[in-house]
Amino acid sequence: MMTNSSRKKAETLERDIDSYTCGEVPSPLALLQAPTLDRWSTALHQRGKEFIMVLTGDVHKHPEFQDGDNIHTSAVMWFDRENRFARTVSRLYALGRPAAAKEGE
Amino acid sequence: MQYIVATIQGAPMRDRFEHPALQTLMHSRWDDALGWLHGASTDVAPRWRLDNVMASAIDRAYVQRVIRDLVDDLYARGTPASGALALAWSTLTADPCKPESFSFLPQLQRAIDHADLEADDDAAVRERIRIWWHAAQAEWKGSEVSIFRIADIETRRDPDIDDHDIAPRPPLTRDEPAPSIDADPRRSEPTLVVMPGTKATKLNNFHTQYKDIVDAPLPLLVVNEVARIRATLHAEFPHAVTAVDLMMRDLREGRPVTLKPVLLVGSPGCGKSRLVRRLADVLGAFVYRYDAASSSDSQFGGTGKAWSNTEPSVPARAIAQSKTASPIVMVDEIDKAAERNWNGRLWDAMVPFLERETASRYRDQSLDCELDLSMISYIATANDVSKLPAPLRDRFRIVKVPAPTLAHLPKLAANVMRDLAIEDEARQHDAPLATDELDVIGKAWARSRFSMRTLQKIVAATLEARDSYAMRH
Repeated sequence: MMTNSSRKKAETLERDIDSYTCGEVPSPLALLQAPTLDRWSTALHQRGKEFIMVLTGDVHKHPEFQDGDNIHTSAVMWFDRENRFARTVSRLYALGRPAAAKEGE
Repeated sequence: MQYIVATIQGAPMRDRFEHPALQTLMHSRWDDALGWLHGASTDVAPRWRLDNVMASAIDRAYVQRVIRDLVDDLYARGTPASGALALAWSTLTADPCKPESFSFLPQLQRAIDHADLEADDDAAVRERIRIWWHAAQAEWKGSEVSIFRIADIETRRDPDIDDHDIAPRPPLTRDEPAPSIDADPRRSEPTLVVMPGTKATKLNNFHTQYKDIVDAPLPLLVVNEVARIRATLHAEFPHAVTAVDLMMRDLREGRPVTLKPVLLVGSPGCGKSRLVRRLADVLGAFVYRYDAASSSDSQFGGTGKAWSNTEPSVPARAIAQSKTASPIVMVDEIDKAAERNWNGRLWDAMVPFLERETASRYRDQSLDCELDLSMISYIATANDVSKLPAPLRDRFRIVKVPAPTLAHLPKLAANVMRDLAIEDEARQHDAPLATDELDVIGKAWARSRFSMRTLQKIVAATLEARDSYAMRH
C-alpha cells in the first residue's frame, strides 16, 4: 500500500540522488539541519542475494531518536566519496567523526 | 570511399550497458577497464587529465590519486553523463585490501537497480557486483590482484554446466527455499506467486477479481526501519510496551513482513484494535478486518464453488484486495464469534490458515485453486481467551495488552490531542493540557475503567469546554 507520504519520500530520494549524480552536494544549511552521525561506521547486510550498506553511529538531531542514541540507519543509497554525508532511503545524514579504525589499520 | 569497420579480436564485449559504470564493471581486468573507460570519456573529460591517467597507470598508488582528481573534475561538470562517468571511474579506485575504498557501492548498486537491462545482462552484472560487495566485507583483504580479476574468476563457470546454470529461473514459486530472495528496493522486490495457474481450475464469473493474480508474482512487504517503528509504537502505546515488543518479535530489518499468529487480549477499550491498525500503518501493510462478532458460520474459509453466491476465503480476499502476498488479516473480537456448530464455526475454519505448512498449500473451495497463503499475518483480538477452543488457542501467541493507568495519562492525552489536531486544523494551536485539566480528565477516565475510546471523548470535551470558556472573555 503506497501512501501519499511514502510516494513523496520516494520522489525526494530520487531527486536527491539525481542531484548527487550531477555532482551537487547538500547545501551547508541542509547538512546543518540533517541528523548527524558521530563515531559512525558502515556495515553490510545481505538481503536475499543482494547487499545493502547501513551506517551505525551515535545520532544527534534525529526526529525520532534521543541525542546520543546508537542507531542503525536504513539502507544507504548514496555515500559521499569524501565521507561528508550519506543519503539513506529515509533521510540525509551528516557524517561526523568515523569510529576509531579497526585493528591493524 | 570505403570504410572498413574493424572489430578488435578479444575485445571484452560489445557495449551492451548504457551506464558506463556497469560496462566498466563487466571487464575482467583493471587495465581493460581503464582502457575502455579512457575511450568512453574522451568527449566529456579534458584530454590532458585522461592522458595523465594513462601516463601514470604504471604506478598503482599514484594513479589512484590521479583518478580521484579526474572523478572530482567529472562531478564538477554537473551533468548526468559526466556523473555517470565519475561513478565508472570510481570503480577503478576500489582496492580489495582497503574495504573502505568500496564506499561507492550503494550508488553503483542503485545504478544497476535502476538500469533497464535484458534479463541475462542484469543477472551477469548483479553476479559481478555481489563479488564486489564481498570484497567490501574484506573477503579478499591481502589479495594482490584487482577486484576486476577477482570478480571475473569468481563468476566464471565451467563451460559444460554453463547452460543449465544460467537458464532463466522461473519466478519464485513455493518450491524455492523461501521468500527470502532478492530484497532490493526496486527491481527485484521479493514476490510470491500466491495463485499458481497450474494448480487452478477455470474461474467463474464471481471471481473476475482473481484473474489478475493467477500466476502473478505479488509483492511481499519488506520491513524497513524496525527501530523507528518500535519507537513510534512505544510512544503511542506507553502502557503496552511489552505487547508491542512481543508483536514485533518476528520482524527483521530488510526481510518480508511475517508475524506468527498473534492474539491480543485485554479489557474493552484498552487499544487493541488501534494497536493493530497503527502497527499496519507504520509498516505500510494492508489490513483486512474481519469482524468475528458478526460471523456465525465457517464463511471465513470460503463457500464452495457449487453455491451460486460462492465466495473465496477471507485470506484470499485480503490478497486480492491488497494485491500483495503479505497482508495482515485482523480478526476482531474473536471470542465473540458464535459458538454453535451449525454451519461450521469461525474457530474451526481459521485453524488451517494459522499453520504455515498447511497455509502454503491451502485449497480454496470457492476458487478451486491451491493458494500459497503462507505469508499472511493473522492478528486477532479478544477480551477473554477462556472460551476459545484449545486447538485454536494453541496456534496463537497470546499477548496481553494491559489497560493504561493514570501514570500514562499525560502521554496518552497528548497523543489524543495530536490526533484531534490532524483531523481538525482549528485544533492545531491548542495549548497543551494543564495539570488541573489532566486531573479532571483523570477522574472522569478512571470512572470509565481507563478505556482509550472514552479518553478520546473526554479530551475532546475538555478542549471544547475550554473553547467555550475562552469565548466568553
